[in-house]
Amino acid sequence: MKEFLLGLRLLLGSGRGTRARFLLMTVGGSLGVCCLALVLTIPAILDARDGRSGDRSPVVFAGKPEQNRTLVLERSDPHGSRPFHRVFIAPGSKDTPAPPPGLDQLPAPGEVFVSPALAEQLDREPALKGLLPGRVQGTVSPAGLTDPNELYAYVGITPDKVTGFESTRALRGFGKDYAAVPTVEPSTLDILRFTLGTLVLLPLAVFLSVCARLSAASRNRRLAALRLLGLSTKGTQRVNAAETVVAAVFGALLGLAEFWLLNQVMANTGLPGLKWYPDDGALSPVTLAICLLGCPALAWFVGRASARAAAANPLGARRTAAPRPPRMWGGLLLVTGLGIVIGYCATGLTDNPAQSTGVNTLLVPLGVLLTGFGLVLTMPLLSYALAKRLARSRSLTLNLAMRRNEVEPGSAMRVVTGLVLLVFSASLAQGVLVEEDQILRPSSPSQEYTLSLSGLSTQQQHRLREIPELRAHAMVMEPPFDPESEGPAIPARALVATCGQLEKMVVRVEGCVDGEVLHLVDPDLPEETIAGSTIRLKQGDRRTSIKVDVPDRKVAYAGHDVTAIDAPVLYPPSRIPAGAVPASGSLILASTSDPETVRTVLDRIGAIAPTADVDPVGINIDALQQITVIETLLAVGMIMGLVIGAAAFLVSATDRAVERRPQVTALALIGARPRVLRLVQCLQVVLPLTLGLVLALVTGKLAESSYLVTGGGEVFWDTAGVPLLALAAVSVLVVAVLGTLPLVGRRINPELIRRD
Amino acid sequence: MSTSEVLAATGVDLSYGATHAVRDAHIVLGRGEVAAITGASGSGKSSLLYCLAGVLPATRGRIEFEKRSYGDLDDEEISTLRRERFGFVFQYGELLPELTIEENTALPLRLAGKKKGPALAAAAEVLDRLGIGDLRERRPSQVSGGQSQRVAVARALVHRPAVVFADEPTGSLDSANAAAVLQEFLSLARSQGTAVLLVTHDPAVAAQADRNYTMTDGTLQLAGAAA
Repeated sequence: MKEFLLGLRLLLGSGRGTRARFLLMTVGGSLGVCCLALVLTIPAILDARDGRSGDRSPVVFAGKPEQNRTLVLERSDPHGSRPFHRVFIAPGSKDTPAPPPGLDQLPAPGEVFVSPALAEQLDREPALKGLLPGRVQGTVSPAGLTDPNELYAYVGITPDKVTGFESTRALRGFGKDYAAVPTVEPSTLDILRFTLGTLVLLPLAVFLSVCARLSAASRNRRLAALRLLGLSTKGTQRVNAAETVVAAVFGALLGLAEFWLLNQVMANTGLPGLKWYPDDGALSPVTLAICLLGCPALAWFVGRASARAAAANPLGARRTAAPRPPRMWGGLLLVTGLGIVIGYCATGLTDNPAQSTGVNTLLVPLGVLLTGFGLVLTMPLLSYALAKRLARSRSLTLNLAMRRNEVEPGSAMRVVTGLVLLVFSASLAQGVLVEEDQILRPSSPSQEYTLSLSGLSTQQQHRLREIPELRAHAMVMEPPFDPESEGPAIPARALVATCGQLEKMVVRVEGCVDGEVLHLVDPDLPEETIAGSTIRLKQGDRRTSIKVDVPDRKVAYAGHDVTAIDAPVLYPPSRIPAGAVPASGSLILASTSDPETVRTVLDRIGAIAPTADVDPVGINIDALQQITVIETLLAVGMIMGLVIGAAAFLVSATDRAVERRPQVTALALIGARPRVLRLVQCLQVVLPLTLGLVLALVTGKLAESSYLVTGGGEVFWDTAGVPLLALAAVSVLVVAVLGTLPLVGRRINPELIRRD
Repeated sequence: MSTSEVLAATGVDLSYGATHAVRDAHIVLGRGEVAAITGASGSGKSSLLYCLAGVLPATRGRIEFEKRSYGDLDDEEISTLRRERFGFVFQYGELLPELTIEENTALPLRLAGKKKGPALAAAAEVLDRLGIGDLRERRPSQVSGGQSQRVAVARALVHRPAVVFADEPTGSLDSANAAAVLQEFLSLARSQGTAVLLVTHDPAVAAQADRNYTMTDGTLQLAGAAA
């Protein structure tokens, strides 16, 4: 204990340099703790959302509803790109269940309770009220909502309005153990946790290591002096640990305060696709324990470990002592990790790629982790080898820069490791996005949206066709249902489109002639017996009709995997009487299928026709929402990784520059030009950083491919992501160059030359 | 200034805010001459040394090197002077720990633009003259304090400067080593015609100089030429 107190005494009575280092350690530690708390809390936020979603899920009696029981009917539709849930409740007299969370009572017929976000939406779009029959009586409290942005409504209704629907059930109560639609699928959540962990925790570990080694040389000399004065080895280590522990405690407290503030701000502003209540992001006892106890405990061990060398060999801590070359064993981790990763990649070249089952579920993440850690531990080795080779150069600048890296390869790499790991982790994030994209999005390059014409005015139809992101549009005309009709022949529906429009909506068209009615056939499907039909049209207030026969002349087409084009006749728009629209049918809109475009188109449809029944063919809106959440979380992880990596870089580079001031001043005094000194400073960082970034790009892409191969998707090699990653790497390099330049000033201060 | 004088200062003042580190200093240094400034710690002798070397700008007064006033030179020209015409020896050598002894010694020549081969050859020659040629390939951490200071001397003289500014050049050495290093330093400097301005608090070191100055609370006084 006395050594610990001595450490505190030294800290309190120290000079400006030590206090600045302590401040850096505290602020750095707080940043780390804040990120750690965020990573630990994200699953809790998702759990809280899913928990409330499960708690409000209707529990129903099996089978056909008994008379007098309370009935429930659920409807989930897209409103723009957001899911819009409606729960219709028809109260009965028998075993009336308790109200759902968020409501004080079950809605009586004619009463509507809406979420606050839906109430705001109703103010903006009064037409939405058409979907909520009744009077809005109040709002649903947060206990009954997943998040503040959710569009959710309970609609009280009489039993006769819901009977007859296939999905109407007798309501037993509310509350299930699981969410019907989790915010993120559990299997995806595990991958997300792993990726977020890699994105944040690996750079964080590097950052904390940087903080623990600040002013290492001068600190070692001080510790060595204490050791020579008679302090025991353990005592010397404890003196050093006192400083790191106190910094960790202050850092943990400050970090938790930073997180509290961040939670309040982010819960109010929200993230794309993900909003939560401040209470969801409240710190759990486990998170508090990890941050308040775990961090100082870790700091104790790190503090003791970093003083080991000075305590064991105080005479070796002389000012000019040369550190040893890095040990080779770090490379073993990289070789092992890469061996596993490349092995899985190799199976992707065969007919039987490895699957993510059995031992592979452990080996793939192990390979990725070993590669990541191996990358960190191997870089000093590679930096050392590079420096040793380039130090022999004829260029004085290169010679000065590389000699320094040759002597202190670990120090050079600590500066850049955070940024290198960021690029490595970004590859993994790209892999997760590619995988999710394959699972949740249809493989077709085209996305269709069908809207029933019955709910659309002529003006709305016109505006919908004008949505800029659309590549094509068409209309399907339906003949009226005739219960009297007999025989196997199906009355013909007609697709109203030009040849050009048809070509844009399908994969291939053969034999199309504009202006002619044609028999539309898909050669891959069996032909049905189709009969001619009469289709009714509305022309203002007038009613008219057209006769649609099935002609002999055929146009062959091949549609995308999932398509709404299912009509045996292609009918030219020019043959529809001017101003006439079909009385029954649907409007088909088509865009490209990338998620961003789909979201935009859905939002535009929602703005033009809020109450329209939209069917985004082949996708479900919850899946789209999930992709948004995953993208958001990965983006948050990337931003945190970037902040930590950049902070580690700046702190480490500054510390290195401060430690070198006497030598740099001496160099300046004997006539070295500032630009030479800047170039030396820059090369010391940029060359190992370039090496690390190239390595991170290669190993990151291999790790990503091993994940994609075992993921079972169609894409194994994400070459599309390489330019983005390369651009990120170049940006990191540019930032690093700019970051090192101000570290050498023009002014020479002879006071920095040591004198007694 | 006579033709043999390389450095002359007249009426030099140097202040740090309200603190007067140097007051009205006059000093002359002839070609190949060794001058020593002695004084207590904090008397302002190092400040004057760096002022004469063009590192700290004088608040008042005139400093001339080879008849050119520092006031007429821009920053780049003063840097060129330091690089090509001056040498420096510091109390702790301030060798770059990552460079070899040979590379450290050749540094002024490389900074002046000389190619690596000839610069290393010149460094080897000076190291040989100082009796430490066999240490060429070692790093500063692999040599003793005395050897390290000899390397610092070699670095200061390798480019045959007109003046070497030495701030407590033997302050980190024991008396035997200090005497040996100083003798080798001054002998080599004199043989090259290099003037030396020494700052020291050691009378034994000052006794080796041709001319002695004392500094008291920022005021410089000529103590008399050595025998």
